Amino acid sequence: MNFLYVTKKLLSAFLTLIAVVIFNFFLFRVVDRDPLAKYRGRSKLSIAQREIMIERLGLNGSKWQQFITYIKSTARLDFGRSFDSTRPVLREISDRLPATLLLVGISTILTILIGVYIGARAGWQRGSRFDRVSTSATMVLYATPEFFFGMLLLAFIAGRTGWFPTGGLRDVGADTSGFASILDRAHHLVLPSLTLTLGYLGSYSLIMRTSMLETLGEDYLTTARAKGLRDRDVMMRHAVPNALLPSVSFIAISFGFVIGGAITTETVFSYPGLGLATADAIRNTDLPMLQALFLVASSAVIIFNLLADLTYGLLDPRIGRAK
Amino acid sequence: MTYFSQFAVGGQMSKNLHKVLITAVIGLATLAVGTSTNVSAEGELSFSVGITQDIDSLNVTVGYLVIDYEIWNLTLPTLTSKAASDFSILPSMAESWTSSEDGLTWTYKLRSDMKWSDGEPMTADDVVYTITRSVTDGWWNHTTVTGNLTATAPDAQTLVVTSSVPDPKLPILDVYIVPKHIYEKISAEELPNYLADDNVSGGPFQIVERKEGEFIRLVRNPNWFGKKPAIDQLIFRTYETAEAQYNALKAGDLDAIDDVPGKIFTAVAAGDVPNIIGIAGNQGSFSELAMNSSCPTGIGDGHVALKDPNVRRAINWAIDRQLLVDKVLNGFGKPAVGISASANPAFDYQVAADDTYSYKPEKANSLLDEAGWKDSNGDGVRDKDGVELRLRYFDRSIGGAADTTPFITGFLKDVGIATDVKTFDEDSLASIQSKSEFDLYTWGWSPYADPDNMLSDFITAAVPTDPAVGGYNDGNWCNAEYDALYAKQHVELDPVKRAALIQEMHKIFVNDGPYAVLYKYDNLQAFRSDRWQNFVRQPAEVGPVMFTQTSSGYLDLEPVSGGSGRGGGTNTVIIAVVAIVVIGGGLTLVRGRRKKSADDRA
Amino acid sequence: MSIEAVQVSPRQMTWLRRRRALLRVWRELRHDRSGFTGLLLLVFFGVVAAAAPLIADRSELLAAAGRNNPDLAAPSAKFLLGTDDIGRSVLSQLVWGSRVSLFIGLLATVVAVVIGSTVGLISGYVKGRVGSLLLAIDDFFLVVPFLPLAIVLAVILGRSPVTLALVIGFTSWAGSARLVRAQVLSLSERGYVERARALGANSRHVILRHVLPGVAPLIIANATLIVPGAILTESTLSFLGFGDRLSPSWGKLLDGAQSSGSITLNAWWYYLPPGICIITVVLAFTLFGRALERIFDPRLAGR
Repeated sequence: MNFLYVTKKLLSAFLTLIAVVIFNFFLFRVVDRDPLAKYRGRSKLSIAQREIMIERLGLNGSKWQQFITYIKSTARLDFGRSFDSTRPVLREISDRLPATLLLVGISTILTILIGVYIGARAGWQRGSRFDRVSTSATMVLYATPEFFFGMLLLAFIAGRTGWFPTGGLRDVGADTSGFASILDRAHHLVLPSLTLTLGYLGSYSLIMRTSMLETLGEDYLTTARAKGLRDRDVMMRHAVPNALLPSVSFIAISFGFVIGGAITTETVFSYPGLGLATADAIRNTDLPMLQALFLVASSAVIIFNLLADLTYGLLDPRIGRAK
Repeated sequence: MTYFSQFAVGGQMSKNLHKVLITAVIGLATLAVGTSTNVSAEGELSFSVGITQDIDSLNVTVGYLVIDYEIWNLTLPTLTSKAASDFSILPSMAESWTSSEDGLTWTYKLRSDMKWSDGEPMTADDVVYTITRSVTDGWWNHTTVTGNLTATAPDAQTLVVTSSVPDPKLPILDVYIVPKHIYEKISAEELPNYLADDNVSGGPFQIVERKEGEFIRLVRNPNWFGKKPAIDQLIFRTYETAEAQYNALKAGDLDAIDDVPGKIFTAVAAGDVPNIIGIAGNQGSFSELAMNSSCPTGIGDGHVALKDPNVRRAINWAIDRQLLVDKVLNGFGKPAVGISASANPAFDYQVAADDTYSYKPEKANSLLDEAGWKDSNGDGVRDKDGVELRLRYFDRSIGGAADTTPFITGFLKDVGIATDVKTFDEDSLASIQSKSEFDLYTWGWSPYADPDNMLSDFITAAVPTDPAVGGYNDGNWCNAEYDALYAKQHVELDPVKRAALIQEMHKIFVNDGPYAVLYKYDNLQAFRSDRWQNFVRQPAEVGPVMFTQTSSGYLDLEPVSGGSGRGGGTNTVIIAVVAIVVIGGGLTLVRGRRKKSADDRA
Repeated sequence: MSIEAVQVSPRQMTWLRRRRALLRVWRELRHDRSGFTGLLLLVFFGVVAAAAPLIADRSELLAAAGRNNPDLAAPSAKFLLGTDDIGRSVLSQLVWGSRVSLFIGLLATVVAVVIGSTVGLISGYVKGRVGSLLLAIDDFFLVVPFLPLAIVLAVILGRSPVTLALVIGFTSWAGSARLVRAQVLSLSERGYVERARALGANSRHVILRHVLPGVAPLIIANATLIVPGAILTESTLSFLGFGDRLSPSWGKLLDGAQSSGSITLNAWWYYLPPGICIITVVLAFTLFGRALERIFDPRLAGR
């Protein structure tokens, strides 16, 4: 992987991010939503107060001035105040980010591991019983909206057995120190992360299977097998690594879907992360929150894609040596 | 294309794949070994309440939701209190009070042992400060009570309040008293954005922790001068759906919930669910369809048809309220045609033995015909002078009223009124209301104990005239007779005469008014009866236990003796067993597959 | 599918060739078990959607339709799939819901395919600034997480079914643009496009007459695979509160089932059928689409 490749990828990620920021500005100027609705008819704002608030929301001056203000404050990570809670949006987001990172992180790792395993094995043993069963199963998983999984888990596991909490991030008022608190959080994470994992397992394993089949067509595998190498070794040492390569970028793109899945999953389980914040912001037409949440989601995907590109560059020698 | 050069790297990766998989399974299983115990520090009694409406603002000058009031009830003192049974006046900060000859001046004697939770003394000064500043800054939760008052504190335990007019809302003086030493540091400009995160309490509980959208945790305020609650810790926990919240109650994660889904409450109320009791409490909360009556002094762009009281009456006759109660409320409520002016049913519209606004679509049709709205082109929608009777119907994205919309639009369609439904969030709807730019919209109110505030919403002076300022008259309706009666009851000190005046106002409002009131709905609450007892309702027999006018229910709750409390023992064991099975199963599965795949193809 | 080198042939020849191609597709589909199953399922749902007025009267969707019915009643002879929380027949709503769900899914797909193919064709065919600009836009939409984008657009544009379809279409074209572009590039390499150009045909003619037919099969197969995504997205948006309560899609039914407590009350007849319908239709489109892909692109055979 050479310097040029990395620079190019970094630059392109940065440009995309800038595009999202600009896009965001125009997107949210279209809506006719009273930014001071919260205060209307309730606490009667004085003219002076109103001006302060308008200025704070960056809504004074011409469109161009607003744009400059917007760019400047975005660069400072100042997204204004939530229409709903009136707290700074950045604080709202930073409060909720860890919960979502944990949920999405665990689910993504599990999905990739299990998905790659199932997909690789199904592809390798194409036509076998494992392939038939797992492919049918993953197709059904793929076809199921993740919130439906959530509903079913809620109905048949949390509701019936009481083994897992039906919602929330943690038990309030419980001993919040040390190991007990970690366990408590983990306990609350099981069903949401299971939902998200099941929801996206399908697409990941189908991608891996396809990739595996493509790899199987390559000559060197036939050669390797002909050489009398053990089948397992051929699969694990030759086929899987090479099939993983093209999967990387697909998986990166799918990450955007997982982020979408976090919205409904967190809603079903009242899991107070950014997804739930999104659902609330929709309900309240809380534009500053939506704007920032959209930016965060986009940045996450852009960063994930960048990492995928760099990994790809690291794994694929052709990219490193080219030019 | 060949990737031979990848073998080294790839081999390394794949070798570890199974290890990683096993680790993942173990990790997942470890996750499962959480405990479901919720025992706080040794011997402390914790009471967790599930809510579906998150706190709007803890700032008493800004917030307006029922949950906001609940927190203020628990953390802010009031001069006097109200009896749980019938709202009669009780001492609180004030031990006693006397009135002057003319009834305009009241002198309160305050307790001497009061302190805020931070140790600062709580005195008559705080009350004077609250009254004075609420008037100067125009705090909307306060001014309907304090607007006509001035106050002085001759000494720390004496408070003198003078009203410019005779005031039936005295001596109760029902406003939250704020700590002067905190609020005087915040300027009027900053106040709307103040988050009230100082956590200084003058009520039975004090806030110790809040995660927005997640929970708020309160503990008993040791400096509270009133009745000592049995509960040491009180937690309100936000759930996204009422159902998730109910499941948490059933699982034992919560002790009580507000807002049980109606269909589920039916089962709970029938006693079908062990260890859980349901209490359907009414304290005057009602829902209505507001109609823009286009008061001449107001602003806005209401449909011309709605200026005609007969069209408004027709809409009232067209609605099948009983069906709404049956289907939307599942029977937990009752049809209503008049507003509830107060949480106290004594001030309700006393329906005479007539059938006012029972479901009579034929009556609606004839009223509309008479008013000149006829379907001249046969498209099923009435019109007059080339104007269609097509009304903008603004729906609230949350709240029970949303479920009534499909019904009401159907009822209106049946009598030839077309509707264009649009859904808004509450704040946006309030903003639209302050411009009076609507035809119909759904909303609901929960009144205070004193009827004055609710009644004041419909006087001409409350009609919005400036969108930036707004006004509470959300039907954009004015009626001189109503105004006159309002002014009279506002200064009528004789409760019986006042009640009679209010009845007159109800009559005008029902006959001419801008509302199609739909129903009074019950607050559906459920409790763990295996852990708690002594659920005191406000008002007695009909009211709810929580989210009441004074929130005194928490002070009366008692733990069931010998009750299990919040035990997690069995759960933990079950979970541990499950975890072991999962770990074991996972390992076997992975190893089994490994073997098999080797055998299969070797 | 490869189209033989362009020859000046009569219209009938072209027609015959297309018919032969179609027949081939049909024959291969007949032997593709999963693809054919998918097709049969789609025909079934298509018939149900088309025949909705014959199966249940539209008035059964009205809120007051359940006036005299018990709420959340279990399946019976009168209500084969029971009733919902306000006493309306779940089956009737499911039948009419198939119209809404399929309508939104198909309309969204049309939007996505039109944008995607246009962008793909032009960016693949036209080099230079226009091409790279389009490619950049495509990249942008490929990277931007599409559900958050769809949510933001739906909040801005409104909650009606048609708006939802437009929003979904607008957010899901990037992948197909990429595919079409790749195919156009590979077609261009084959030289006949060059020849047509050399013969003096203008760009529009070349794109429409020579390039488009070449990528058409791919576009069709890809479209079939966009529909299930669109239906899933629709159900997600409905679940998050968008959509219309009076002509509910399957997603909206799930939303209703969830908010009325049917899960806790074990009213499986309310929450399972819409979920199963979504899964089945999405599965059917996916199976069918993958089969088409295999047929049109023999390299994929055996997948």
